[in-house]
Amino acid sequence: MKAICYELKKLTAGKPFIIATLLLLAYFAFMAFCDFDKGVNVIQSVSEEQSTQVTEERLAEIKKEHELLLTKMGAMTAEESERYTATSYIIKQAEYIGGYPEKMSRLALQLYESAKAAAASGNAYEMEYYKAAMNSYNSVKDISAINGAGAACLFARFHCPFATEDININEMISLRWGYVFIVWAVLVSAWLFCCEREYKTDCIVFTACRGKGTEFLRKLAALALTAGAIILVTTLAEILYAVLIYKVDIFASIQSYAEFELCPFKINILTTVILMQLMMYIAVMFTVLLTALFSIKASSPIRGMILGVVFAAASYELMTGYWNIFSAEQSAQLDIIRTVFPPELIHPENYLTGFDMTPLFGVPVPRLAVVIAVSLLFIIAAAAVCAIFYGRSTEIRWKAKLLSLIKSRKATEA
Amino acid sequence: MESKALVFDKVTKSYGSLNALDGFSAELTHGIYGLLGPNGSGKSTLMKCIAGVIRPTSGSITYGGENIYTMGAGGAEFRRLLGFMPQDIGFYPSFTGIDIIKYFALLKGCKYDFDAARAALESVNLGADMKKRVGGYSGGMKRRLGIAVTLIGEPEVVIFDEPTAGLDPEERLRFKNLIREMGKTRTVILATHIISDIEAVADYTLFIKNGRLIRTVENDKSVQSHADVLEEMYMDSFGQKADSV
Repeated sequence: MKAICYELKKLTAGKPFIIATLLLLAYFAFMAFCDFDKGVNVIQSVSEEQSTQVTEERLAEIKKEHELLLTKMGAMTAEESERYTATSYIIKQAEYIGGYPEKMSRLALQLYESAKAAAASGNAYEMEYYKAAMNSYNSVKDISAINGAGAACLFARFHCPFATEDININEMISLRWGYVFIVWAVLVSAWLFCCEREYKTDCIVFTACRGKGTEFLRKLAALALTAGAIILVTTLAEILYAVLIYKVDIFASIQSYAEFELCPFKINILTTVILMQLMMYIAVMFTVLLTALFSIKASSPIRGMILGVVFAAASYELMTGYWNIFSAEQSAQLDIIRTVFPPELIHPENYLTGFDMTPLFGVPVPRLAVVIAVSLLFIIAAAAVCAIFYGRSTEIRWKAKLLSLIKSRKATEA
Repeated sequence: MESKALVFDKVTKSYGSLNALDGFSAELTHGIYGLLGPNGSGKSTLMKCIAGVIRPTSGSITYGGENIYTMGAGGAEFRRLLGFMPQDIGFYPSFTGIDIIKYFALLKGCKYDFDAARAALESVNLGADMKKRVGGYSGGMKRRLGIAVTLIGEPEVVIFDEPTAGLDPEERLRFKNLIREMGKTRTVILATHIISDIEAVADYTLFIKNGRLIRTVENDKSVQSHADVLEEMYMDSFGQKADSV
């Protein structure tokens, strides 16, 4: 712990850290005080309007369809009956979730239609998927439909700039908090991983018996603590904001907020805020390790920073950007792949606003669990690689110096 | 302390077609060894190879019969026995002198409390400035701090690259006395352009040219004008004058 304190001292005394952290916190303050609630309210009213479009008539149709099927099944042979069991199950479930509060019936209808299509095509995996979805939503059936305007404002302000046909919050929040945090992580980690070269202590540090791999791990711990402290502060600020400014019932189920109606997890608004921050933290640590990999051979912090920013930006753009070069169908397929990559964690709406499962050995697994597992695997693997190779860059610096020395000697001799 | 030899066997360090070290072979036991050679002759490369900052392309370096790069995990055991002060040394400006000693002691796996750290700083006459931030130290003070850091953990092999550059005459004298004391029980390697430094303390002088050991001279400290003899040998070996004090 004492050794980590020295790394924290190195980190926090550096100008890059002070400047980057001040800018980061300034941006957070901007997000907290910038007035864009008007836009959020428009979104809220639009989504409420959509959710009331499911009429009593449509639900009555579903019930009628179910009764018709039951009559048909009565006249079927045992074999025919078995074939229709799956469809029957779906219709039963649809009828059941049809009893949701009005606000939730949009979900019931959506699931019903999807499940019916899956049953008709005989797709076993999709059948399992929708069965799991229905069971999941049935378990949160008792959700009370509350006014989610406060939660809408909270999430839009700090996490998910939702866009609708009427208004795009992205226009108001020109930069996501997640992106700013990622850039902070690159600048600060590149600085810490390369500061020995900057201060010319590398030859002594890297020749000490605990100066290579363990030194790297201490630096990693210092960065993890610092990023963790920022996450903690912003989480607390966000919770205070929710309670004091937006008067959000933070213990209300997340599904009671229209945008998160299809969230697959039985969590409340407070847990959702914490989960989003945790996702951000994993994305930041992913970036730190990515930067560490590029800093191993960087001969100066500036090079580490540039490499880190370039590669982080490239990978984030690749993973989270638009796939304009692909057709819509290809894009949809690639979306499934890219959402299991760590950078996507700064887009929590991708995981928490839909019943989002991915097949893993034939079993539907929440995509969020997959992306967290992938991130942790990368973090562990990258940390192991960096711990082995950290401290080797001094040779590069020495080579450059030696070559210039020999060149000048030859020039003198000549 | 048991006498172990640091043995170089045809050590070569190549960068492309260029050999910074070219089949360097020598055996160093307890005592003080002065390395002499012009810029780019391979002195610093040799020292960096010993310190493990860079690895030779071929050949081997052993200490007590064991390869220094495989002693402990990745040579950690040898690095525990090593003290290295590079030519261009720097420190974290936000740390105080005491912080620096305690931090590097921690990196070297030694436990230095406040008193031990203060004693280390007092040995290089920095006791009065121990709580001052290193960012406010002068060049000479930084070099003295570097010497104190090098001696943390009482290393068996000590390497100094241009240790007296920037020191005033009084500090230089203090440093020479310190080195003499250390040379009785340790292997001390001293690279410098300043012949009088080598003449004053070194038991042996190694002349390096183009990465090769071209001459080894046992210094006769009883001869008053030994510096002149070394100067002549330098001229003879490299065809130029060595730097004066």
